[in-house]
Amino acid sequence: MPYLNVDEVESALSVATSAPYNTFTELITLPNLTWENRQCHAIKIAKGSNLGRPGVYFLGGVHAREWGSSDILINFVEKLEQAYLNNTGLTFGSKNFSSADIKTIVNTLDIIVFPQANPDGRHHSMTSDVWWRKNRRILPPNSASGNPACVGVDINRNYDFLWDFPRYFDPSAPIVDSIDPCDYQLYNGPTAFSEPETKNAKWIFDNFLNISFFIDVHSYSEDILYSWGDDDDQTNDPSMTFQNPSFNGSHGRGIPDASGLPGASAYREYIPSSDKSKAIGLANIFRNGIQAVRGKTYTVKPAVNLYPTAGTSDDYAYSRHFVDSTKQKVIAYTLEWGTEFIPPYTEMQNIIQDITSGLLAFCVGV
Amino acid sequence: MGRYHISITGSSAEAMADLVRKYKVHIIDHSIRHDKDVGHEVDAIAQPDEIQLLEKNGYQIERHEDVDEIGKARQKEVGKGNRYKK
Repeated sequence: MPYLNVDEVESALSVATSAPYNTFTELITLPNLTWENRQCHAIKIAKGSNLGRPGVYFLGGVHAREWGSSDILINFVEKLEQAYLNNTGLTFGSKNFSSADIKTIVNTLDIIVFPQANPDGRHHSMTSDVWWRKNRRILPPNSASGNPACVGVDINRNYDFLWDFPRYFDPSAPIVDSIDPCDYQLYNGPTAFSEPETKNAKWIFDNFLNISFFIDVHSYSEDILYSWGDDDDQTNDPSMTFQNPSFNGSHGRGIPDASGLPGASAYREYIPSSDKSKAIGLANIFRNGIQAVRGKTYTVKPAVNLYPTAGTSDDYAYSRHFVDSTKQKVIAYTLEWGTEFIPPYTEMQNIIQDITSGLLAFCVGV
Repeated sequence: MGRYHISITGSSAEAMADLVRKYKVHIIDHSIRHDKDVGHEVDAIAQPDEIQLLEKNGYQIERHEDVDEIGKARQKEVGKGNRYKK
């Protein structure tokens, strides 16, 4: 079994929302075509529609070269649907999910899966430059210069969270981001949400208002990352926040000292202690679900490390309710699966089992 | 010119920060790790001239696989046709 190509991911969603699964699934057509005119879809898995049930949103295929993310999410959809339909449980290695667990997930949650956010990039990576990361934007400012790097935007730097990073970050911060349209990996785009791929990902948040949990599936490093990614966090000072302009220019100073511990930082991003506890608790359930399959130990930690980020999906998702208190709070993560971007498919099949188990455990734990 | 998966070890956090600030290396940011004996280490994808520049400036480089060769092999593991079409 090889990696799914771009058409196969879309076809898999079509099959997953057709009979006999159509009594508890819905195919969601995303409103924005990609730069190469591809239509994207997501899937909602939910039986019933009782008020107050939380939504869980899994996103994948954002970075073109991280092929396995889409394969993981399609496998998750297929396994969950088959088990629900057949009233069976699921087993991954030594991890068992009972039929009651499966019913609980489908009957009490809205599961929304958008497995292939960047089909243009995935196609380019699978057929041309295998290490391509961005989308395939070819309009100005990425004008034809003859330099192939001058194409594309890093979708996971294009969200509206500190997107205009030179304004917010200390000039010395080693931020992994770029305003250079010819940066091979990291160009953040002409504006926040300039890209059809990020607009589609946002559209799901805006149209499924009960989304309370979000995981953006990436590779690699075997980490489960919770917000924040722009700086170290703190739980004591609600005024020290990305919304406070008096801290503009001071994000990202927290470079670790020689011991590897965070250095003295002028700024630390606020997270209420209850949110942090919840985020870590659920991440531990996710980690344990992965570990039970064949013993792989993922690390639960904040998204920030030596290299801070801006404009990412997880921080955008968690920031939404701070910016607009009418919006649902979203506990958000980035998963970094595996130890290489594109493992041999034999190993990818093992990772698919690990992560499917972790995602199911996460859903049961919500 | 081929590209290589490398591991970069620097003498300090500041040196590791310079990989991004000064040398614009394509690091794999979440691969950063710290060991009190070894120091900071991070993975990256780099061309031979970039590797040479880093070595000249005091970084220790462990060169792993040629990622372009690996990439060609992986592209052969992509599905042909459409297994979902009946």
